[in-house]
Amino acid sequence: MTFLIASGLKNLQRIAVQPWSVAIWIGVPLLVGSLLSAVMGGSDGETPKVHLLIADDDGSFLSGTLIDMLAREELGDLLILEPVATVSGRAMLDEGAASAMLVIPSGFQTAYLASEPQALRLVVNPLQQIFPEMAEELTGLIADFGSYAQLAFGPELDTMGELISDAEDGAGPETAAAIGTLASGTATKLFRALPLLTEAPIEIAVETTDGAREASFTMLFFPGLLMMSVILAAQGLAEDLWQEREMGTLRRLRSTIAPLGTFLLARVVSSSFALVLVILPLGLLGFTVLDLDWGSLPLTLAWLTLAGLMLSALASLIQVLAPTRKAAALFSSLVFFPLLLVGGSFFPLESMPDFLATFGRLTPNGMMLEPLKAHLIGTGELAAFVPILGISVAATLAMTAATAWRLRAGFATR
Amino acid sequence: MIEVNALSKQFGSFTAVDDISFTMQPGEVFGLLGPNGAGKSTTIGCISGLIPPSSGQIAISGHDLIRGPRAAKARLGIVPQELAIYEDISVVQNLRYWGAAYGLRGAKLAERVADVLEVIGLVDRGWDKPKDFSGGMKRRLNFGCGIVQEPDVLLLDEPTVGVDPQSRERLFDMVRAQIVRGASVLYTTHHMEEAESLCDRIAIVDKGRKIAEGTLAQLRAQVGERDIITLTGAFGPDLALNDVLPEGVAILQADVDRLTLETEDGPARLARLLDALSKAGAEVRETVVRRPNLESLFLKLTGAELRA
Repeated sequence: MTFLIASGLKNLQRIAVQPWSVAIWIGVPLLVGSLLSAVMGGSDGETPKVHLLIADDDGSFLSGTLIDMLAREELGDLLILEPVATVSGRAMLDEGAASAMLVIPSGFQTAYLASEPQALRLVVNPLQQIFPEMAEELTGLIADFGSYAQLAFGPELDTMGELISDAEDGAGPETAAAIGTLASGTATKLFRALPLLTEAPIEIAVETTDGAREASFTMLFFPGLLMMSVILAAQGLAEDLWQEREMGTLRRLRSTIAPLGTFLLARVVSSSFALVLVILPLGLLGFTVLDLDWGSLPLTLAWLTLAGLMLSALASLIQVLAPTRKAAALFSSLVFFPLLLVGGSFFPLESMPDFLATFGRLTPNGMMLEPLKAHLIGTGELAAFVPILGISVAATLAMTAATAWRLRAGFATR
Repeated sequence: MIEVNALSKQFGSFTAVDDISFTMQPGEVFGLLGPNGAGKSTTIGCISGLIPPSSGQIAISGHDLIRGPRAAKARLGIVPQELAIYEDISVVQNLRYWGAAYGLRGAKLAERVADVLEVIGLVDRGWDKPKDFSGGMKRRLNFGCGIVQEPDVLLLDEPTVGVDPQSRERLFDMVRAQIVRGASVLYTTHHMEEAESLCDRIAIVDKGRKIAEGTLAQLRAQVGERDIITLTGAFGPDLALNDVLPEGVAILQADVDRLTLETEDGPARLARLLDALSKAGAEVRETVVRRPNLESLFLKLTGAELRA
């Protein structure tokens, strides 16, 4: 017991003299989380707007009406509109100054009134994905609306077409007045119908299950952030094995009567303390910002500590199997960086393609993340933790045993 | 205290230690003297339990190292050649850790830590971290970590490498203090002067084999009261040395560019020797005369220099 305590204290003291390491384990996830939350609008933040350029090559009453519909309040909350010429609009997209450009082609009004098929062109910024998709959705709504309006106001549009043709043939001012009256009346009906785009009279009320909370992006991302700090800490704690080897202390230890098992157990104990030290500040911050149930905090800490021990066991095994310290660092990065990416720490699994999310849930970190996330949102049962608990404990023990074998087989005596 | 019997260690086809046997008594400093690569560190590695021997027996204070490693290791202390201390925790924390690794606890551990601080002269630096220490101070702590458990047998593997003379003398004083306590000390070195200064008995090893063993006086007697003269120059292949050399001068080794000779009262005979060689057409560029010592014994036994 004395050696267990002495060894554990030694490990903690050596961690304590590396404050920058601990700061990185906490700071990197905090920074990543803050940036991503800011980009995605946070938990209750303002919805981001799409910067949409409008190139009206038609310059007609109808094209102007279409632009007015995009600018109305219902869609105006989502769009920032900017009229441009087609050439300058392309240049702006190339510079990344906008998300997309809607080009209303010349002849739009004539074709619309003649019920001829036509296409509005949406040129997107290739370097963006989410905002151009939003622009496509929104302009698609308008296009659908226009198509239905063609059907609903068919007779009025036919009459409008005839009057415009007469005006072009030199008809008198009464023709122009008739066009104005008809256009005004039709437009009024159109704009009256426009709110239906965003406020349909028949709506679907969305409810969550009992006790569940609506999961914002930040809420879905928060457990992954905590897991990111756990992974960084696990890697950092495992690197100490090569340090001890190069210092000669592992070799000296093997010449004493201290059991290797006690040495490794002390590492588990000290790693647990270190992991709690790392998880707690981020956990407290997240629980406060997201207004989570404080009763879940102890389970969150315990579960993530267990995850950290399992990942630390994996990292330690990588360290002792590598032939050199540099190789160990390289192998560790090759294993853990992909785990970070696909395991739900950079992007919530819910935002990934299905096949990738399925794979992510099979990773050690992803496997540990899912029941915790479900619990914090309120959709999970405590029973869901049990099988994962068994798997993680078994995996930790197996990897630790393998590490002990490798230490005895030569890593600790060179 | 230590019995090593027919110890051998092979690494693949390479034999690092070849049938080495010796015993050490309590209160004795036993030296393992040999050049780099002679097998000294491998021998220490086997005795400390880090390297499993290929064959042979090792017993420490009556406990077989192979059959009862825990009991044997409990009586062993090691001061490795390279520093093996934690530089980012204090001296006291280092001693506590290594004392606990040997099973010490409670009041006994605290008492030993205090005693070792006195012995190594770091009482007033006990709570400082070795990363701020000089090399000599780190070496002292390295030594202290090996004696905190009051071992019956202390292994020192070339402990003075890179150490200044003052620190080396201090280290020797600490070793002698262990002898006074009744411990046995196995001391490996390739420095003849250290072996002559510190060791009660010495075994000379070369290429994994023990080539001589005894007290300093016994080993010197093997050399006899004869000086070793080493000449460097040009000694043609046709030079009939036996006809050229004066009476009483024996040839230990002869190459076209180097002669190693043995004779009594070397300085007095040197002038006649050089004159004879010059008349025979040899060209002597450098002359070294060694009085009888371990180095000359090593040279006599192996034909090679003790120092690489």
